[in-house]
Amino acid sequence: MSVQRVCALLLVLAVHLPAQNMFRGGEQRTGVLRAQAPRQFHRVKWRFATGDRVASSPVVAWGVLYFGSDDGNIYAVDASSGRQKWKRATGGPVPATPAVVNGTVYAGSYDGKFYALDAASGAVRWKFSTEGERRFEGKGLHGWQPRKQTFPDPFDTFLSSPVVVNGVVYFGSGDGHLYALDAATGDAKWKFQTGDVIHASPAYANGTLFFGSWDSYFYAVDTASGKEKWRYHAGEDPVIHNQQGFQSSPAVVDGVVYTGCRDSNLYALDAATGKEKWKFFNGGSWVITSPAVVNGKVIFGTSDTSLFHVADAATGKELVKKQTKAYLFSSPVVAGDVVLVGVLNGTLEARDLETGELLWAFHTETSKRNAGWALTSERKINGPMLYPSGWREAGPAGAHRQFSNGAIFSTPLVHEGVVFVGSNDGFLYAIE
Amino acid sequence: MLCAAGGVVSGQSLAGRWVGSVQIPEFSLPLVIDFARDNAGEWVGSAILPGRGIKGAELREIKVQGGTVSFAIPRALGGLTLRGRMSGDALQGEMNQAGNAAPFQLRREGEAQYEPPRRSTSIRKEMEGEWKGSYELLGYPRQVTLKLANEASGAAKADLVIVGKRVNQIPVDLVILDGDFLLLESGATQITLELRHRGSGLFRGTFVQGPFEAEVELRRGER
Repeated sequence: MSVQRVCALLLVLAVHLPAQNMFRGGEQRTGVLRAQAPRQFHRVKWRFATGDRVASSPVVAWGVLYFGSDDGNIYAVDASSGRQKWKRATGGPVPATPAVVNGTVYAGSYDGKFYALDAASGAVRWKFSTEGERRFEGKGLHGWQPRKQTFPDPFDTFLSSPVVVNGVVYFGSGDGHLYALDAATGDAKWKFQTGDVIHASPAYANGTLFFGSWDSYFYAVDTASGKEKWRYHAGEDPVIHNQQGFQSSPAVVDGVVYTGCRDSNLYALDAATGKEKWKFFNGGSWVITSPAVVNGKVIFGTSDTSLFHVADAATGKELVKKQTKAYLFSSPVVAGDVVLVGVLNGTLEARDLETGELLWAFHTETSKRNAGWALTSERKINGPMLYPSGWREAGPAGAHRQFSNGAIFSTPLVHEGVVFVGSNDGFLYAIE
Repeated sequence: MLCAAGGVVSGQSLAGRWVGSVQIPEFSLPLVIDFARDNAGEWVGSAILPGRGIKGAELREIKVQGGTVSFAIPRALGGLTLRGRMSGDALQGEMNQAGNAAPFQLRREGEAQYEPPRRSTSIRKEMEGEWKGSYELLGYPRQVTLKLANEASGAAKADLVIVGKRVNQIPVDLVILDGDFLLLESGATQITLELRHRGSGLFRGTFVQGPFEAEVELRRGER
């Protein structure tokens, strides 16, 4: 093949493959990256320390990584050296993934504000106040007691990540609204109200936004008017609120929306009508992960059953099922012929796209220390040590111990052959 | 040779209350163990794990050989096994849980305050046989079949089957009659049936599983 043909092919790939400046690779949230992940683990190239958990997923633009930390900062880090270029403090944790468009970094914070920062300096261009952030909550949540006590959900770990299209930035909020702001000024264009927290990230295709809410509905909203096109009603759980709500962010491919749900289904919905095409039931196990869609396959993971699934995108029929060792909250990404996904036992897994076989695994140092025996010797979640009781603060405290063990909530990114992922041990890792 | 009934080994007695902790990575787990001898001279014991909601957990497989002591606490934290060496009023060794291992140190602090495990009691003759009923949970009906009988040991046993979307054979660990109140517990499923015998072939009470409660009524089936 001539040099000219190679260059032409690369140009075509660059045009048609998704960018890596937003969560899940771009506005359709397909989870397909413009890069090839390594098929072998060599070393940790560098790790960048922050002051708290990094549940945010890194994005990259012009060789700079952007991500948030629960220490309240939004960071810009040189992808090559791992050196900080700048940080910008917000008033609360930032477990959201930024979007970087036209030299501006967009991200929300638990302080209830949404920030637009200069990508080069971190200077604030504008910020917008929502009606306030909060976690999903419920009485007797997850079976915790007393039954009439309202508990905030510690498993509500992410904030909505923005999508930026045609000069408008869209994101969900704990106040139940999906906001549309002018990307240049931060002025509100419209807001769409749902019945509960929106921490899933909206996807965009053909003038429509797709997103789920914790009110158990999945919505399609017209971007121009902010009016509802259709809604889909998923499962509800009025007693312990465990089997309800959308925490997964959708992917939109070829007129079909794919999304996970805490009612333990992965749904395929017609993007035009909202009609259910198929659903994949996971036996009571949440589908928090956002599905990746590539080559007619849907890739997703589950929480309690800790399964890595590949399903046929047209039918929902299972093609591959692999057992991992702990809950999957991190979302799988496809980078060439490799699928990367983080695991809550502090492992980053690389799997073969075709077979699902494990190619390599990286364990965070914190998870290897196994503080408080949060893990069994086989690196599974050690439930009896973490959750000795379902009363009062025992549930949230157990979740805190579980998450503090170097767990990986962050979704990996691949750039120039290097894998970047955050961990709850406070580091952003560069792995090659 | 293991001296499970020997009581005193090399001039040392295991009897007493032992207090200390397990040094799990970045975490110290408090532990209180009581060792005593039953009427037959066998070692018995119970455990307390302060802060873990465990009080009076039964010790099993207590073995003493030379100065070495080993035992299990199957109903604490998914199952614990401990093996250590006693020296005077000190007992130290290793604890295992879920494949993990960590050192423990205990010191004797006075006499044992052993807590015998709860055991199933006998039930009244008119309670033996089959009982049938139902309850409703989350809008779905469940059919219950309970078979009660006294065993030769004098303790009652129960076969409990709950049929909802599928047939569930519930393993019952404890059957305790206290006056007219009959308590059935299943540790594996965390299900409890608290029933009151109303005479004339009727039990009324509550099905409990974690935060879920439902009224249940059982009527005499086959004897």
